[in-house]
Amino acid sequence: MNLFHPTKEIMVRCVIELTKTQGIETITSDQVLEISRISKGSMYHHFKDFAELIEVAETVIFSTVVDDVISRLSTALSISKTREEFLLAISAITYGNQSAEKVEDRLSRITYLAQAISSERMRQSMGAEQERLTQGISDLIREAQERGWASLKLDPLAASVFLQAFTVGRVIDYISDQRVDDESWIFLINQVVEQVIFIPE
Amino acid sequence: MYRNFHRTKQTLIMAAVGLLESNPTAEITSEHILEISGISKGSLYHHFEDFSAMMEYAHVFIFTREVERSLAAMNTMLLQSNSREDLVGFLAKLTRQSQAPEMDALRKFRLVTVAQSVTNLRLRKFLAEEQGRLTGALADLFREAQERGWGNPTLNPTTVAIFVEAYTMGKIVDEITATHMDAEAWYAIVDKTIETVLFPAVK
Repeated sequence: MNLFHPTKEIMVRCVIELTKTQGIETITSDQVLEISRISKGSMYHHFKDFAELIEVAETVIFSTVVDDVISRLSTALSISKTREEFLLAISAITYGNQSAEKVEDRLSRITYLAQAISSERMRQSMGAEQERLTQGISDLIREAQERGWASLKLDPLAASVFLQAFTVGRVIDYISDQRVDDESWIFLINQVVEQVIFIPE
Repeated sequence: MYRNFHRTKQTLIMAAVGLLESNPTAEITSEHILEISGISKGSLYHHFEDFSAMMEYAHVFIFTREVERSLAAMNTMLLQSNSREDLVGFLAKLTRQSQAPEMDALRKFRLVTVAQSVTNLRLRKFLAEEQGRLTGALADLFREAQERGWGNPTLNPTTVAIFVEAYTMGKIVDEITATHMDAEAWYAIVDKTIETVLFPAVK
């Protein structure tokens, strides 16, 4: 995602910077123009409308998440010599990934997915990143199968979607008043990871 | 909750539900709803704070209806099961209904409603109530299965309920990509989770 025109790049970075202190939905075009010192004409030369700039920024944010997940999983695979070591590494990732602290990330992801469903433009940019994530995780599962750490009966693509589905879907828990505690959630996820996904062949 | 509403309020919500179902993406206006329901504008604003509030009720109604159907089906399954094997067999059938590609429209709808609730506090409050009720009912069913010795005793029933709802809705990540997974492969992974983690055979 560094193939942008410099002006485009500045505007996208500016939006991403702003998301660190305010919700993306509250960012205005005036704000971005003032901070980036880019003219209105220039903005509309690069983006059809302000919404498109926001969508591009959201896609870039999501693509960073995709890179991060894939890199952490491939590190887990490369440093592990046995299935047990691999499961320990995965469980450490689960601990970081599934905790309630990640709630903001998950809420943003839900918002992006909802936009991708409702807008064709967003579907194209976000869909490509989602595809990269699904395929990336799926490749790592295939690699684990080759090492004998995952069942060959398992479909790597479906397993990849499954892992993401319950991670994203946990957002359901955040809208209700009583929440499940992290410990019992991680305990369940570890059982699924060990007994459904990475079962020795 | 809806059953306790005034008849006029129910009629308005159902008119919105009908429109949402026939064309989920179309812009729905208050004029449209008033025309279909034959209810006056004054009456609409007597029962709802504003038009959006009425639409939010309609969204949540659709959100919960299908889950309630699944819950009723699960309850029947539990009553009809004489063994863990019976229950696992029934659940495999239910998986093929609730996880079917035909249900994707509902999955999308559910996701969009949850996403809206992130920034809309009024919707969030209302959704939280309904969501809590559904999760509670699902957790009760799992607790009942645990008491019969079929549900994994080491798992927290509420966590199981959230987990099942989570993967059912989260399956949507497969929807926005160009290539899709095989529906049978998905059923297989859900079956495996049900058989080995949620309702493991007693050794």
